[in-house]
Amino acid sequence: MRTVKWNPFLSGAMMLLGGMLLWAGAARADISSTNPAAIVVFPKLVVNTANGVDTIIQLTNTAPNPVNVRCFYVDANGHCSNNSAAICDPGEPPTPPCESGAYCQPGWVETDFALTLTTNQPIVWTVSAGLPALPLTAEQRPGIGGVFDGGSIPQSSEDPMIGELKCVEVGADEFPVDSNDLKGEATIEIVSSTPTVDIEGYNAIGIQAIPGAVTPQDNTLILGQEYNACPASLILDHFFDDAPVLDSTVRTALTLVPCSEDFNTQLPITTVVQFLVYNEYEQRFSTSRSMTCFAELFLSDIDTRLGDLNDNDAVSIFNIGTEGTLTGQTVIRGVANPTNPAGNGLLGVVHEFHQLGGPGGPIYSAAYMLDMRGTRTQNDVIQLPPASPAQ
Amino acid sequence: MRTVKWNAFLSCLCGFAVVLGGVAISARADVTTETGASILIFPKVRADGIFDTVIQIANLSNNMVYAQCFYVNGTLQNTNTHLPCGVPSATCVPLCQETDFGIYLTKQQPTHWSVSTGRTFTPSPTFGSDTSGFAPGAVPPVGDFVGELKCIEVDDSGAPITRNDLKGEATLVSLATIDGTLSDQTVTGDVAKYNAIGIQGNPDVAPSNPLLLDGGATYNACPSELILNHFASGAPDIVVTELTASGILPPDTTSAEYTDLTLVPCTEDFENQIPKSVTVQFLIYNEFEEQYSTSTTVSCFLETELTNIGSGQIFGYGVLGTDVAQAIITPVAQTNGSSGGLVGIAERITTMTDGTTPTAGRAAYNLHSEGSYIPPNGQPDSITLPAEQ
Repeated sequence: MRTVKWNPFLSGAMMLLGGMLLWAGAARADISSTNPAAIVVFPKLVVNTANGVDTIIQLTNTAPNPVNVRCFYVDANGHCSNNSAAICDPGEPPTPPCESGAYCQPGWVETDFALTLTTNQPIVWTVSAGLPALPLTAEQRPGIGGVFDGGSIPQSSEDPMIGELKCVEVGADEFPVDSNDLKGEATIEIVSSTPTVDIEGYNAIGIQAIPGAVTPQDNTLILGQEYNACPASLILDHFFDDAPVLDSTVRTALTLVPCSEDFNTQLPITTVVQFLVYNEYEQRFSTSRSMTCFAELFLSDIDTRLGDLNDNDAVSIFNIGTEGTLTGQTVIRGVANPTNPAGNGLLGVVHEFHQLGGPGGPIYSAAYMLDMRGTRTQNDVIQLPPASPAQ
Repeated sequence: MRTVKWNAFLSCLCGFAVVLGGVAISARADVTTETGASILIFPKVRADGIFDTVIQIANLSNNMVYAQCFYVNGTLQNTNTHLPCGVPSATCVPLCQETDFGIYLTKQQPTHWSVSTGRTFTPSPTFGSDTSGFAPGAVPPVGDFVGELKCIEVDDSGAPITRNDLKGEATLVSLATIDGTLSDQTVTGDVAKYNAIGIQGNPDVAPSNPLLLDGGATYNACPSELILNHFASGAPDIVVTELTASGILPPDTTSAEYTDLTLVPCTEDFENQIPKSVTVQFLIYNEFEEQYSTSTTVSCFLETELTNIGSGQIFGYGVLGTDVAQAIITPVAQTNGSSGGLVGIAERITTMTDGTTPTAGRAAYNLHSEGSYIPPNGQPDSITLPAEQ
């Protein structure tokens, strides 16, 4: 009989190593909207100044030292198939401004910019106007240690516009670094001369870098290896559409963006999204829909015809007319596509619209965050373009 | 020479235990607003005739879940006259009165109630009515209430458990149009919503009463600092300013931003009804990196517009001089080393007028947080449940 002599030191060391790997897995498990991070994601920005709609972005450096940031706007406007200058909503049936016979082509256009934030510096801008110069530079006064902030933020590429913003902390060489110093908030405002003002705000979603894991001088960001992994599923607690809540009727819109994004080749990623719905009777329903790059949908539009025309919203599994209870819990999962080298993780934010007194009444909105469960087994990848020809 | 024979199994176990200990601390080092938890905190709940609050709680597991919930009434009252008062001071303090109730949720069940009416058991609820769904138990109505709600996951005997099955949201709904001062402005129907703050428990331990927020051994600790990004109080709203300049809004349109901050101590003694007081320090940076500081004491519950904190008006636009600022909020230890963690939320209020008609909009945000707070005396935050729980 063959015997194996255990080396106690080695076996202890191996277990330590195994445990450390386990720890690394655990540490990657928490994308959060309440902790500073290396990547901040603002899933929904809206601009429509003619109708009094704009988004305020707040971005803050929480570190006691200056930080450099690269940011990427994604303009997810649709345009008419026969008129690329005409902006339309791919989520609506082909109506004006698209002419007869035309349809609304979804689009994704990326615009990037770079910033330097000084010690603990907060900045604010509107997406429509941007920020031509950061505060210290604009005032021509240095911060602590004689350091100036730097960079400028472009105005939105179109007006109206809908889309997202991702910002990544980088080093002086503009390559990503493993520091977690950024936090952010977005506030969508709708104002009118009536006068009325409706605001909804949410925290940017933070993806933390794993200290020591970020490959130096590399523009490929691997979520699940260098950064925290995206959640395996998102959990949405919501009112079913058309539910009466106090004196209002409520509808909910869900904004989803992919964790993976290729800002270099600008190739959008398509993901099939599975929805598993529970009502207050513990009854279970499910549906699915595919999304590419950016999706904003009223819940009742997920499993029915888009838009308001013959939409059959009342028979949606997200509608109180089907569910019979006021609230539900929906588990949202991006289906992994083995042919996709990048992952199919999702992030998002929820917008709730309360129409006071029913149809025709004023609408007030609020935003809140999706819950997250687990981590993706497949890594997600954010590919940055070179910051300069030298890269 | 003496030799020691290593026990391979034991050395494995020790190595693993050391690392697991590290995991326990690092993986459970924070409160959360996005993952299931064993303790849910809704820092701001109003049912005072001006606002009502709709509470949503969901069971994330496939098991039956029980929770014991505690309303803490933080309505301000004068210590001499016992009449309601406005701004917190030495003689205007929160009532700090607790009311509790139990709820139970079947697998994956969501539920809801409005705080003013609670939720009663209806044997045969109408399809689509407010009481449709499995009744989560009797939730009492409360009136004239401004305060917090804490819910703690328990087993069917009422003993606390740490399975981290709960999540929640609160929707603050305005019931009246009020043209007040600072943040006391709202219009009927306006809504603001935030995620409940979750404190995760260590699923490998059976907690005992009081519940210890000890950094992960039993429950996660509260944060060592909260970070509030806010507009300078009284600063003009930049969207309104830009739309007025571009002619979309009338030229006489004016606006102002305010921030209503709510903080609650993590420590609660529901058995002895002893309110917890925590002194907090505010360190504020404006857009020019200029630094300011002030402090206040949170006793049981604090809800106030930022300019009511301290005496220097340092949250005001006139002092800060920039549209936004970053405030870092940290608990201060007393001379005996005692202190405590806090959690909270912020509500941003944008007011606007065309010269004759005032209006306002509100939005709620969860505060950012960093670190795990264990006071210098080593006594972690704790939640003491009534003895019969």
